[in-house]
Amino acid sequence: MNRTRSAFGDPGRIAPSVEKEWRDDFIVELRLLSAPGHQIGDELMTVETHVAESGEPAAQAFGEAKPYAREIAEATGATGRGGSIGPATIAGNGLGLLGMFATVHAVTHWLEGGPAGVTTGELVGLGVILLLVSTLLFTRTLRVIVEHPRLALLLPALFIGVFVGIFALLSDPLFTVPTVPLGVAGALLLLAGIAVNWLDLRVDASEIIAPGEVPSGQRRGRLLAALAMPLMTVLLLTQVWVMHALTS
Amino acid sequence: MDEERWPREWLRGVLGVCVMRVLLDGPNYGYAITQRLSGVGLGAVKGGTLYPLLGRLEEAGYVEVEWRPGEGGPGRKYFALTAAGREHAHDQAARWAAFTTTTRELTDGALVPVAGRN
Repeated sequence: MNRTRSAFGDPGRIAPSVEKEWRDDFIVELRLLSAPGHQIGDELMTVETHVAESGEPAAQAFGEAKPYAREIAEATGATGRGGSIGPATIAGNGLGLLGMFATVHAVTHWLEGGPAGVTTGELVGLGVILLLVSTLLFTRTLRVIVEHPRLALLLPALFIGVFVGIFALLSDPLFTVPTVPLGVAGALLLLAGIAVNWLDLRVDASEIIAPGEVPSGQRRGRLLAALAMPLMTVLLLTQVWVMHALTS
Repeated sequence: MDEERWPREWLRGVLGVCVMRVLLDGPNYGYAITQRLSGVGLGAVKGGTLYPLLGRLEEAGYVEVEWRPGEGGPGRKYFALTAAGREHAHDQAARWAAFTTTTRELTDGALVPVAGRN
């Protein structure tokens, strides 16, 4: 079949006859099993054609979505083929995160007219954040987040509280760094993060496509994902500048 | 599946042989295969049972798939036996025949009326 991209802008449109809840559970479970996007689309379409022809609801013809997704992934050897969050994604975002911290720190102290003081709390906090980000490498972390959305909402608030505590308790400056080299290093880290993320997303196999459909490359999504950290940095810098202008 | 008539574990054991037998007649799609199996008296085979089986056959290299456009519908996924699959289907059918002969030699004894036994 030769389908055009416009036919399936939304993965859910691949299987309009399948109940949304069943369809979403099926997609999420296959995602967690790291099945490639083209296979998710193929399996979804298979369910759609069967449901459309038999007139049975998906739950009746295929049973519950999650066990069926696990069974089909195991039967076809799809598990792990697509890759979800890989080392390159973690590295790209880790570099971006470091760049954001360095840049914001440098500009804050540059506006104040002094070198950038680095405290023990800031270093420990940064280490904890990088450690937390690296846990996303494990599918189990993603499964916990997906299957416990309330916990996923509470955790950021808990982490912010922990970081504020770390910063307050370990506030003694360890050393100082000149602001300009720190700012340049931050900008370079941000650029390196963009490059790694962009290259990582170029080989991304996560786009759900129907059989015969050509991947769109998700150009807009890729661009936004690669520029997320730099955009957040610009936002934070604007905030720092406004605060400085208001208080000085 | 028709659990009333055939125990689930029997059907699970014979389903692969039967699906390959259906595919020996030519490429076919999932729903039509279930209809064919139902038509010969095996009962209603669910999609959740059939497609993982076909997936395993494809993974083993016995089956290949092709999406064919439907008439105004979403199209159909056709399953066809490969050369290795045809050979495997014939081999499995022969082994199943031998298996049933063996088991019948034993179980047919249960069909003799109780009064006629020693």
